[in-house]
Order: sequence, then C-alpha cells, then structure tokens
Amino acid sequence: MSFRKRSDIISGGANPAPNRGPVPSIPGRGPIPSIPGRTPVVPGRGPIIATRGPMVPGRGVPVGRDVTGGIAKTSDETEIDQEQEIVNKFKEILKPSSLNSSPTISTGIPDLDKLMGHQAGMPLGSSLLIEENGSTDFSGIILKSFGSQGIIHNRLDAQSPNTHLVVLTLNTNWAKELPGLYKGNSKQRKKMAIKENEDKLSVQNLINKPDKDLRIAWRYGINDAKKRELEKSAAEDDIYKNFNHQFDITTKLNPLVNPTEITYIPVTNFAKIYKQLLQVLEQQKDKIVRLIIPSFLNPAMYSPMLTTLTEVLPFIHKLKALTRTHTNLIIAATIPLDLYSKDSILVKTMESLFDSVIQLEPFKQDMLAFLEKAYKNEPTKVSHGLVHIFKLNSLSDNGQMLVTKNEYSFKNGRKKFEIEEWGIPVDDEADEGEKQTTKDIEF
Amino acid sequence: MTSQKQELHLFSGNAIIPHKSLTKSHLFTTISHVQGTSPTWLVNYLIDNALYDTCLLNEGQSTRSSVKSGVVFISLINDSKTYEAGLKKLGVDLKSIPQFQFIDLFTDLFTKVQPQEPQSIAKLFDSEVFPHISKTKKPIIFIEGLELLLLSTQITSIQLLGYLSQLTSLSKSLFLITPSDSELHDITTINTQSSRQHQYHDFLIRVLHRTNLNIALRPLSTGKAKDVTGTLTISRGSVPFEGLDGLEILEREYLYLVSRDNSVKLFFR
Repeated sequence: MSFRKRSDIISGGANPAPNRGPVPSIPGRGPIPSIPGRTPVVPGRGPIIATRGPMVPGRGVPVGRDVTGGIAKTSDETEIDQEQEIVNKFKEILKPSSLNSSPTISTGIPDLDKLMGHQAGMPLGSSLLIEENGSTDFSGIILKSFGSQGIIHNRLDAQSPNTHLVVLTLNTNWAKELPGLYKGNSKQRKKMAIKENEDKLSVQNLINKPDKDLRIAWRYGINDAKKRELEKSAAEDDIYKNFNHQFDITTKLNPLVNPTEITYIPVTNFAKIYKQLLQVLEQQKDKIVRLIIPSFLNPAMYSPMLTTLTEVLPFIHKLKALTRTHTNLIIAATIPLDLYSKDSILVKTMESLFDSVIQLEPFKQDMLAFLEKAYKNEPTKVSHGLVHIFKLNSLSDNGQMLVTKNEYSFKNGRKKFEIEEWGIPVDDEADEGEKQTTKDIEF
Repeated sequence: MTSQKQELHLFSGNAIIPHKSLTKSHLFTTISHVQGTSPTWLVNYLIDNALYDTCLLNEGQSTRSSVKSGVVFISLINDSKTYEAGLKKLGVDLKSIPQFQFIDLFTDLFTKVQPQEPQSIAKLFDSEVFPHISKTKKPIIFIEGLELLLLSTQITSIQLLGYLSQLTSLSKSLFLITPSDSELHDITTINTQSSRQHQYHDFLIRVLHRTNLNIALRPLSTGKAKDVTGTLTISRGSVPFEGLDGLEILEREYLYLVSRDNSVKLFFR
C-alpha cells in the first residue's frame, strides 16, 4: 500500500519517485521482491525500506529517507512534499489510509483505529472528541492508551525520538497512570521467558540446540507453498508492526514517562494555554505532537468563566486551525455529557469543530445484570456500554451520513479495550421454562 | 417511453445557477444542513456551476468552456484545501482560475477577532472581506461558518445581518451555508440557555425572510440507510425571484447518495 494520494500525478521515468531516495541507485537493492523467492524466505527482509535506514550504521542518508533531492517543485508539489517528508520521517509508526492514502496514526486502541473509517487509524492533523455519559471513566482509558501509544512510538528508536505528549490538565501525575504493554497471558509469558533463556548464548544452549534443518525426505516440500503464503502475509504485517500496540491497564508503563517526553499545560485561561501550546509545537516541530485533553470543561479544573461559549468556541476553533497548519498535531479530548448535555448548543458546536466525534454510553446496572445473566458461562462476552458515532474524519465532511447509534458496543478488559458490533443476547429463560414443562409431562 | 432524467435543477429550463437572469435580479440562497449531511459535495458542484455553468451530475453539462462568473468563497470554518481537493476531483483546478477567490477567515480568525469586542468583527470585514470583492464585476459569493461569530462573540444578529446585506449588494448571487440543527435554534430552550442561542435563532428567522431560494440537506427521517444518504429539498424563499423569460424555482425533493468514493447520485422523491 502506498502513501501516494490518488490525485497525485506520478512523474515520468526521468524523475525518481519522491520517497525512493537512493534506493534505485544501488543495484539489486530496491526491487527486492523481484528476486524470486527472496522476500518470503528470509524473514525480516520484506520491510527493508522502512527498517533498514536506521539499522545500517555509517550511512549518511538512511535508505528511503531522502525525499526531495533535485526535483523542481510547484506550490502544489511543495505541499505534497511536506506531507511526504512527514511520512518518510515517521514511516515506522504510520499507516496509509485506505480512502485517500493520507498518513494515519494509531489511537492506541486497535478497535478504535478500525472504527475511524480509514482501515488504518487517525489521520495526522486531525482531532477526536470522545463524549461519555455517566460517572464512569472509560474515555479516560482511551486517552491513556492514546498517550501510552505515543510513548511507545517515541521509544522505538532511542536515537531519534518521534513523539511528544502534551496534556492539558492540572494533574501532573497523569502520565504515571499510563498503561504498560500487554505481554501476553501467564502461559505466553512463561513461553517468552523460556525462549529468552534459550536465545542466550551459553554452552548449555549450544549443546541442546536442536538441528532445525533436519527434515524427513518424503515430507520435504509438502508444506512449502502454504508456508510461503503465511510468511508473505506475516511480512506484510511486519511493515506496520510498530503501528499499534496492545496495552494492559493493570500494569504501568515502564520506565515511567520522563519530562522530555511530555509537557503539562496547566488549565489557567485559554489564551495562555494556546500560547503555551504554540511554544511546544514550535519546540517539537520535528516530532508528532499528541495533544490530550482529559475531561474538558470539568468544573474541577475549569472555572465557570472558562465554560462559556465565548471562551470555549474560540479555543476549539483555534485548535482546529492548528491541526490544519501543523500536520504533526493530533488531538484527543474527552467531555463528560452529564455536565454538558448533548443537546446543548455548546456541545453541538464543539462537535462541528472536531473532525471525529464518538460517544460512549455505559450500560445501566439493570442492563449489565441482564448481560451477566445471559453470558453467565462466558463472562468475557459482557459488554460495558454502547459506542455511538457522530462524525468521522474527512468522511463526514465529504457529505457521507455516518451518524450511527446503538450499532457498536465496547468492552473494557485487562488486555484491551474492545469495540465490536452490538447484538442483544438471547435470553434463554423461556427455553428453560419449556424444558421444565417437558419434565412435568414425563412425570 | 422515456423516463425523466434524475438530474439536479434548481430552476426551470434545466438551470442550476441562472447566469443570464442574474444580470437583472439578485439571488439569495441558503444551504442548510445538520450533523451527518455535510453540504460540501453540493457546494463543490455549485462552485463548478457558478464558474463554468457546468454540472457533472447532469448529462450534457460536463463541457467546460470559458469562466461565466467570478466566484468568491468566504469561509470561517474550513481552509481552501477542503474545496480545492473536492473540486480537483471534479476536474476543476481552483488555483489556476484567477476569477476564483478564497477568503480564508478560518486560519487565524480568533487572533483577529476578540470575542468581547464586536468592533473587531467590523474591522475584519472591512479589511479582509469587502476590499477583496470586485465592485465592477459582481461575483457569486459563497459564505460559510457565519454562525460561529454569533455563537462565540458578542455580535448581535442585526449587526451580522448588516454585513450580510453589504455582501448581498456586492454580489449578483449570495449562498449562505449554515447549520440548522435543532439544538442550535430550539425555541423551547432559548430562555434557559445563553442569549447567544437566541441571537442565532433570530438570525436564522430574519435570513429566511430575505431569501429567494432555500436548499435543505437532511438525513432520512426513517433512520440510516445504506443506499440513501439523505434528502435534498429545494423550496422557494420568502422573496420571489424574478428571472428572465419566466424562469422560476423548481420546488423539488431528491433523495441523494454520497458513496465512499465521493460520487453522488440523485433520485426524485
């Protein structure tokens, strides 16, 4: 899949494709898939353009990073180049949208990424508003995963940090609560520990190492085609292996977020906040900036003066303008609907200024009790609430009708926050009644 | 038997924007929409029609020749890229058309406008909008996002209507693109909510008393459907439009579908 937009004109043979850099000049290196059997057989070779650059020491220009060399540009091309520059810079953590090939980044929740409508993630230079009913804080978990994902991306390559978090809150311990990576269940962890032990270079391990090349002659080649296919799809997945991660909300991010990775902007007044945000964007212009706004307009942090239309709307409008001028900025905010009604003019206008809007509506106690009863043998199937979609980036703005209510549900588990299609479970009380009747007749 | 072609026409004589009649009369149109029925696709087709008198939705109206009219697009909620990208898909490169002008009030609106000072809005219009509109060759003007000024500053509906009147006098046709969600102008909650809502309600009512043509985009009242995005209703405004040769507004209702690839289909209702 390519990041090139469908509307872009592909230049002729004389000009190299903008993101190829020096690849074609190294014979035999660029078109690796053209060497038959090479890519699937040697694991890790597939995503060579994405991963090789930073891994090869002593190379002045990493493979696939030289973007603009010697091509005369029009103003249109300059804009495309800016986007290409970001794409090339953050290639490892981005995925192209299936709709318009624009670069997208993960929200930290794989199911939410899928819901965003791009078959990838959240487009760069966009904003997401998560509304939540009730006193629960499921939206807070999404924000924390959003933050953790940024930190994990940032730590992929210690030499070139790529992400910076900005949190608009009074809680300066917010980052201490970020969830750590999910390391599998106890069985998987044990296996991992054994494998790690085996991989260590020791005399014992060398003696015990089984000979993997030994094959029984008559089985030779039987499963090769299947294997090749599997390896091919694995190689494709491998290209975007760092796009998103799974987080375990019962663990904490380790090592903790350090001050160079995060900036807290205290809630004072919106003019000051905006000024500070501009400063951070200026300082971090070479990184992706994830702006996180937990519990926006919550009276515990925001004074009543700050919650008026004349204060809030100009601020949100400015944020929207920032996402258009700073392609490296993405925003995720949550708002409690019990404090600011969805029918209010404030929330409605805010929704119009955000690119994507979803609502989490946790189930009430009686519904949860019903679900627990219906799934008494499968407690992991119990959903915790509904997800309503009101707007999706670029799709809604193009005129598509995407307001979807009661079609998705969410489930917050230890290892992931799941969003799936919602279906009311069958209540089998009636069936039990029938069985009872049959028994009576037999007596 | 031939079936009637399901094409977009706002006026009799298969016209969308009646270029010839605009030399004689002025046309004031509102395009209202709600959440889920963004009018961007329709605005794109209208810009194309305003510039070249063509419309790719209709058969036989796809050949572009010379530019028929200048177009000024004023936006407080989108940047120029939104429309440039949309029009590019229709084969119109807005950047290469000198008769098209985009006045970007979006990018730094609230650095120029102070919410507590309505005079700053007057300054904005006097410096950023009016001087850029040609007085000799009146253009067709599109304006979107005006409601944001009403909701987020201390401007009154009367003051805003004053700017709108000035724009009307500078143009041969004015299209006002505005949201019409019930939450924004629900009369039952006006007393309990801020006065800004009252101003917006007042603005909408007054505007509707000045229009010649109203276009409304709404979702299906029966709920979401896979094959229909919503309804497009064309109705006469309070002020009659006097076109040449008995040209009159065709009051119609369409069902429309915006597909994932942004292609649009219209169906008579």
